Amino acid sequence: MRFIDPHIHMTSRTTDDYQAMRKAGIVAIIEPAFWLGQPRTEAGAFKDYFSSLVGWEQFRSSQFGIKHYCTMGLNSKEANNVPLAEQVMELLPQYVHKENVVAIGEIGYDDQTEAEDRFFREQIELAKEVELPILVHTPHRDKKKGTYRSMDVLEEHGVDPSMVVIDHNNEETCKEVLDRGYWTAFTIYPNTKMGNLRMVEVVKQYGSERIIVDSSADWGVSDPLSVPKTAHLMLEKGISKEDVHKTCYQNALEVYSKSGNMKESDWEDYSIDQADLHEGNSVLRGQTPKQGSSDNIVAN
Amino acid sequence: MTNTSEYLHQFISIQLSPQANEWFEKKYAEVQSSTTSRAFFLAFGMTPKKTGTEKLQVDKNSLSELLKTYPGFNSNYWTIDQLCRVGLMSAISTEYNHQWITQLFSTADMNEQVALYKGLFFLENAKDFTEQAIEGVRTNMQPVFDAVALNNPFPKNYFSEGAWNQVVLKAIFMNRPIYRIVGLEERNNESLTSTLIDFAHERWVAGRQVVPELWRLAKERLDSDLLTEIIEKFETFDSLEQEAIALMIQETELAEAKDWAAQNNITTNKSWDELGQALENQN
Repeated sequence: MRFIDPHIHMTSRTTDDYQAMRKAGIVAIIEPAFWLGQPRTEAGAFKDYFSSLVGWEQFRSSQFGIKHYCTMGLNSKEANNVPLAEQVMELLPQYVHKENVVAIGEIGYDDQTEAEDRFFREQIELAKEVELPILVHTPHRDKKKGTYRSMDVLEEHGVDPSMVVIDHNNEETCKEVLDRGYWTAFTIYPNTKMGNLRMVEVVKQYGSERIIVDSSADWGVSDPLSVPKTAHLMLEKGISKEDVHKTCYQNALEVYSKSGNMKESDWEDYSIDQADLHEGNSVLRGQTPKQGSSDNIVAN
Repeated sequence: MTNTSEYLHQFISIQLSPQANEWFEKKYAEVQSSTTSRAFFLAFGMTPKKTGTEKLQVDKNSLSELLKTYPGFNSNYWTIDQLCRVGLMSAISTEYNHQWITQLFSTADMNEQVALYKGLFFLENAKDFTEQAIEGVRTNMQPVFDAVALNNPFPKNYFSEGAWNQVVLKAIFMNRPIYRIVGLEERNNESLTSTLIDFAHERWVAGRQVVPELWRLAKERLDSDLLTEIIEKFETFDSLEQEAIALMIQETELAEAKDWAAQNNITTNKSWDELGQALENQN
């Protein structure tokens, strides 16, 4: 099977990761602009970071046979440095039309401050203007209210939910986000977000319509193989191949292709031999796993 | 407006569909009359979406015209969006073009960088962009490097010897097809060939292959000692490497090399360009 990881911060990852990802069947990835751990203090640091997402990092990825896309935006955490955030907002129009940019994101709330609210709204308007999908980061703390508020604001601005991915959902937020018509993404991330056994249960309960699995792997303890591992775990647990394909490939392709910058033929050039290797890959072995001890489980 | 930019403009309009051409004409006029960079940045970014990214189709007459303007031009390595982007670059008044284009370089994605580097030579004040083109050679992105180094007359016309030598050395390091470097033989120099011979020895010591095209440039360095080394290793060379040696010897005056080649039937009927193509196809 082929996979798309629609949320992964490769800037923080190594070449070992790229190789393992390709071997596991990942053919395309989306790298949302985010914060780098160390807060930036100059607009130039954002500029160079954005340039690397549309330049160097997408080239680096291509060297491993993985098609690289990104999203452009000011993340919620750094939106709180208002003078800097204003300068970043001036930079963004220079980047939103680059050819591997598939959305405005990840934007939304962290602490849910006034500044975060201001730049979330400004970027929603930017996305509308340039006709790009939106990737929304939902807060770790006060998750449920933050998620609902994000959707309220999007609706206030008249955004079509089919143009929006709400990310980092959990069992508590899932139903409402789906009911309101949004693409509903889950981050499989050890310790803090979702484990993939829980993910399996979500898909069992809600099906595969508009549900998206991603890794959000970054500089923290995270797993760049979360998507293929979850896919295999779903198969082990009896979820249909079609549902796995939708949640781990097709749905992400569908929503982000609305940007006009992402299509399946983009990665047809890459050799598919390697993509098929994952069946024999030890990381993902486990066609007959013991209950609860599969290599494919991302514990949470 | 120079003849070059007018010619480029006309050539582009033949290449585009009526719909794309209408868009291009409008943007071209906007950029031409602008005193701020905004229209240029937006049009440049939008170009592939409006024109498509098909490979350029060029008839013989147009090609010979283009070659006069831009030695080394090869439509196989150009797409329609690249050419349109270059058209937009050439529409900017020279009063502003250095500032705007330099600014765009600093935020350009990979394919934008490729188009920018390919286009510099078409500009009336191309020389003003020499430092930028040298910066392009420092990239680690192969398509960007190729845009400066291959089928582009810019380095030949504007690079100092030191900068030129970096182009050739880096192309060899990156295993790029150096027969596509414009001015390869005209700009060959002693400093470069000396470095190339050092490099060949480095490769041999490490048990690695020497890029066969290297001998095209280093052939003047062939002497008795080098010939002895080559003869020792000759059996371990692959066929294109052997042909490169044969070609080098054909073009040398060194009698003992000619004798050795004659005795051992070391020949080739390829030219250097054909050898370069064969290598490129193999890679």
